[in-house]
Amino acid sequence: MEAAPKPGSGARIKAQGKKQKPPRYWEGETDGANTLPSNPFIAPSPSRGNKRKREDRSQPKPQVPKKRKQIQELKSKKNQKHLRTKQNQKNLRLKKDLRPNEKEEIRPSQTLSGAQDPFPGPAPVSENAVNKFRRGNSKFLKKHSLKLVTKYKLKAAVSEEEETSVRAARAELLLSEEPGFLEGEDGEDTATICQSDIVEAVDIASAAKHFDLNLHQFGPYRLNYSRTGRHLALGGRRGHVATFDWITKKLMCEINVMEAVRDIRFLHSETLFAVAQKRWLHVYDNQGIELHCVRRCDRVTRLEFLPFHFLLATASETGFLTYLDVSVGKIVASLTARAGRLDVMTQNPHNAVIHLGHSNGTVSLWCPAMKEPLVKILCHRGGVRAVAVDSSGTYMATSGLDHQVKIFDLRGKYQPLTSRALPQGAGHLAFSQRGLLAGGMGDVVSIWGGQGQGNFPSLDQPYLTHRLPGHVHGLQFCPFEDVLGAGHNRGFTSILVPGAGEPNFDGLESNPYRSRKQRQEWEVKALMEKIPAELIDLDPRNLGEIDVISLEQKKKEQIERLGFDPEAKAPFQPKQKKKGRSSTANLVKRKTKVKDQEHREKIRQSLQQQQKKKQEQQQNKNNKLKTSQSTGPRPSALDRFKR
Amino acid sequence: MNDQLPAKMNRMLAMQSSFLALQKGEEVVNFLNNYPVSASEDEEGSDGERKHLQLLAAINGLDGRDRQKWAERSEASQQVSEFSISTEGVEEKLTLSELLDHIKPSSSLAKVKRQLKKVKNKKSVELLLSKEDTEQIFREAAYNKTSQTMTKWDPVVLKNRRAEQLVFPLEDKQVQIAPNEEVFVGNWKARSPLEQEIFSLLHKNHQPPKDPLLTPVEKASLKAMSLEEAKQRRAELQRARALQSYYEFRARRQKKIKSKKFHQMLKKKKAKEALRQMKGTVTPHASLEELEKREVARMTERMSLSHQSKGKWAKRRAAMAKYDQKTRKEIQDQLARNKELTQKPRMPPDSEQEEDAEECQLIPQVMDEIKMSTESSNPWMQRNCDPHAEVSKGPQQPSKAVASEESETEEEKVVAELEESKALRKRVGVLLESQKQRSVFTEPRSLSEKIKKKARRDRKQSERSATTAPKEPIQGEELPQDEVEIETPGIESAQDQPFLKSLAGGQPQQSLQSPTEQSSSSKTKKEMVINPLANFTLKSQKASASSLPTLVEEEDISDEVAAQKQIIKEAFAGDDIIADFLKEKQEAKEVSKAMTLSLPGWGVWGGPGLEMRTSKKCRFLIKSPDGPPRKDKSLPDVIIHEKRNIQAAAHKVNILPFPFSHHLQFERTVQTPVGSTWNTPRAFQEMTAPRVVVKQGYIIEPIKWRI
Repeated sequence: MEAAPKPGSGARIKAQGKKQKPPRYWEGETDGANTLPSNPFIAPSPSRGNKRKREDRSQPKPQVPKKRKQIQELKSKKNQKHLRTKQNQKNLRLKKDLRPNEKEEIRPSQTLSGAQDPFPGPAPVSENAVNKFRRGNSKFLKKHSLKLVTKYKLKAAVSEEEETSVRAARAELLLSEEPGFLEGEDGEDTATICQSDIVEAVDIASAAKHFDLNLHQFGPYRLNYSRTGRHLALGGRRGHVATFDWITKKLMCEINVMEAVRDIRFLHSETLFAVAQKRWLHVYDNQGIELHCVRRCDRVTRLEFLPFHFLLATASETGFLTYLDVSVGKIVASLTARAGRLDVMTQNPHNAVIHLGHSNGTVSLWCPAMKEPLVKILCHRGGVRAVAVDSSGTYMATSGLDHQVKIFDLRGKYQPLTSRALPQGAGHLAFSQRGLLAGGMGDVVSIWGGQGQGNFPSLDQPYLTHRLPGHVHGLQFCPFEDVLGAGHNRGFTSILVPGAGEPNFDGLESNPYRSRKQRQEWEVKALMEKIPAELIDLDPRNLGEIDVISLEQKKKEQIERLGFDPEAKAPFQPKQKKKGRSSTANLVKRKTKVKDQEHREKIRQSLQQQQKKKQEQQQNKNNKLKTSQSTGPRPSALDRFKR
Repeated sequence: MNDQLPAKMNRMLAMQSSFLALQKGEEVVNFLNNYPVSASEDEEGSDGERKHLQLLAAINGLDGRDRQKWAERSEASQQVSEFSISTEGVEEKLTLSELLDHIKPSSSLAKVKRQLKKVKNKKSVELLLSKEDTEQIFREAAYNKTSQTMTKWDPVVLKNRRAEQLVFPLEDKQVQIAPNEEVFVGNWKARSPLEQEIFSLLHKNHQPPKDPLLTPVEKASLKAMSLEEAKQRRAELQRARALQSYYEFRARRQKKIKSKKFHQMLKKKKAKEALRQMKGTVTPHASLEELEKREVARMTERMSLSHQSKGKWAKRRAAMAKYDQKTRKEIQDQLARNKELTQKPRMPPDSEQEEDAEECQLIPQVMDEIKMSTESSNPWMQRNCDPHAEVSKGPQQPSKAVASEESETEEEKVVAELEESKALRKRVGVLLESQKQRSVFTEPRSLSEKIKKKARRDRKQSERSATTAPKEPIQGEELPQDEVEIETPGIESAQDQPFLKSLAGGQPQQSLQSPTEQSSSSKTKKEMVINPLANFTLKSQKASASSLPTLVEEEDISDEVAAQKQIIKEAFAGDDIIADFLKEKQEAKEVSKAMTLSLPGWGVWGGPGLEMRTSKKCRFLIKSPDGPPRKDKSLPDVIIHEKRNIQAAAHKVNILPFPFSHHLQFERTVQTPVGSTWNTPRAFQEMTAPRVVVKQGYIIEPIKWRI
């Protein structure tokens, strides 16, 4: 197909091109039978979004020991229904742990007192809890006959995953803290509850987290919490820069840079922070000593720090998105967005992709390895004013000049899920760790929540509202705290938002209470585990996949070099038979017979797949119909008179 | 020759008569051999010789082996001759078997045949195999045999290969623990006098090192004692041992107790005991010792910080002391103890009252200090006590100051945008104040009205702004619509109108529905038509009036200009955004271009100024083959770039490892993350455990076959 075809044969070639797919490397030799309309393999569904079906159960399903079943059956009849549901829940046990159980059945465990353990073996874990830690699987594995070694390896991988996920599910017990929440008294709108009420209700330590900093001199403030949530950096428009431990209110440094400050951001730890000043980007340490002045990043408007890559992303007035590696001090990539001034930027904490909002209503997604945006989404009719991405990287909230706030799905489709018109539109947006969305509109901060963990917040009713003394200029939720920090004209306000922060922190990863020594150790470890900038991609799981394109290229080259395919399946050679049964005609007949058989097999498989697909579609349709029928009120003849 | 033969026969018969015996076959053969048939010449000459030969033959026949006499018949006759031919056979019938009897063995050809057969069948003896070949054969045989025997290892090898971890040595040898006495006694030499003494005692009593229940001496003494005595003694011994073990156990248990308080009490108890004992027996020596002890205690106390307010514990307590009575008491106790210990021992220990007084003085001071320190270092702590007062004060106080500074900010270009939006909010706020009951969607109308008013006023004042945008709204609602229609292609304009209408005062719900209806009518361009507005057709909810931001009335000329710009920008924001986006998307799609192979002037009458026919052009147009469908095919408001990330691809695996035949299989095995970030510590340890562990200090012996 690469060679230029002869004139006039275009149509035919096109037809061929449609029919003939280039043989994939796993398809073996190219036979006539191989050109089938449907691909026999189905790629595994992306594990993140779609439902994961647990189809392959290669290992024997662990069973509840007999004793227990009997006990359950002996219970009263009232409980039977409840019991059945319990039994239906697939109880999972570790494979290893099961072995002693089997032994126990043979030889019942005897304690000194003679009493028997009513619940022998490890406690069962619910399927849902385990599913949370599974990585998905592929149906492909089951379909094809495999070599014994391969089978064994796959089996081992499956069992390992099972084991680790069960372990992880068990370990969830250790997450002892629970998130807080706010509940109105029968029908009371939580949005009407003001901060003073909350402060009165909570304990002293939490009440101390609501405070106002009255800093009216140096203009609107930008703010940034460190990754541990312990430290806060404030940058006033008129040059005021301060960092402090906001819980103990211990000041680390306070300086005036005598220049306009546009943004401020902590680097990997609280000891370093970057300030986007009028001309250049400056880096200060925790004592306020200027360490670097990065002149290659000029007229920076927004800063983002990617903690696992040690990259500081800067968006500039000149329209450049620059990635600065802070561990080596090199500029990794400098990309032109070709969309004018950049002043809306946020990062996707899931995959470290940078989201830029543009004045033409689009949001573009960037990674340092690509010169072009990975995705461009048309979000608003007006320019984009603010963008925020939630901690799981699933939802993106945008607000535009058309006064709309929208929430987009980032899992491949990039379609809006909900939207809402606000009287003035939101100038700033921020997602909390547990998925609350805060929007700053003028001097009011609204926080939306609800719909449960893992869902996007519903925009119809705010969860909380708070009026600030000045106009909002910066919003961020404090990690691991139920606190929303808002920088405004007159300083800084720390707002209590119950249920905003993740209640359990990882002591090894971001420990709010870490000592100096611990921080240093963490720094070394984090640097060693630094991820190269090239690996940033839309789907971080792509890295675990084989690069099929280069694999096929390699294979092709090898075949070209050798003149034959070394891994190809040998063509069918009919056996020699006696008494004239091995005539040429007979040989050909036998060959065609085998070939046809293979062909038939393949067709059968593809047909089965198609049927399955159809059935699924029909089922979906039926379900939809059912739901629509059941939910909607029955249409009546009088409907036509409705207005 | 035929006529000669009977003659010869005759002669021979005559000779036979003279000689007794004649052999039949041989003779004939000899005769025939010796006398070839040309008889004419040897008729007489060879007669003597023949006779001689006959004689010899007769003599040969004499040795008795061949007694049977053979007679030759020379003539056919009815009667058999009287000499040798028997007449018996004349009457008897000849049987077939008799005839056949003679045929078998006697046929001389069969013998020859047999010989020939033998020769034929006999293979030539092969040469001995070369040394290499024999060795190879031997090797093969040996290999087969050994491989046969080695198959018994297969399951073992397979098991070891599949084992997640192998620990060498494979079999754990149980380490035998020898008691210390046994090990040491062998080459133990008592060196120190104490050891010597002990050993001498042990040896004297013949105390066994292993089981020291009863020494031989004791046993002997037991034997020597009477039964009762022995019993008594034994009971005593048992009791003593039981007591000992009891005390030992108790001591061990007490030692394990971690409670500080318990140990403190224990220590105190002991000290008291000692004191009591001291009091009981007051000697100058003991009292001196006591004094010394106290002196040492004082020294150590003065050196250390243990009972002062500077330790970690004390500091932490000090922070809490403010609130808690109990901790305050604890701190007081500490300080009292310090005081007590650091006092010079010349004072009698009974004067507790004075100390108390001193303490009372001391502690409040400390507490004050603590308070001071917290307050001075932490300015927010003060504020914390009454945050509400501060908050309420905050906004009122600086309002004037900010107003004065507002003019400063205007100089900065960066601020401009912010101000714009602020001004806009003011504008809307005014309206909202007047019509609070209205829904949000009335706002756009008011907005447009505002635009009109603004524009008129502007025209009156001055036509400062050169941009076309502010002029347009002057003529009312018609113009902007026309504008749009001119600018954008048909499809887009149709969609844009509703938005503008809604902006100009229509109901948004209706207008937003209209594009979908249009799209359904024009099915050919469905893709493009329906979806660009998908983002915008979402049902939007109403805002609650409670959370509306407050707006301050501030009039500023420059502000107004900026605000106006902002309004216009907002009003016409959606105009060409969609068109531009679609254009961009189209460009992104058309990366692969078609190729024409048409040659100008080929196949037509040539000449200057000749133009190719379009049909010909189309005929030779070759479209590049369609790749896989784009990911954003059904997502018109999204552009997903399809370019491959080469830099990331360099980090990916690009070979298929051994046992796998499909990349999905391999991916399945590397799916579970191994790192400690994603796993529980236990799982992490198990997954990263080394495949082979070699225990140190063990000899690894080759594996042995055990049955």
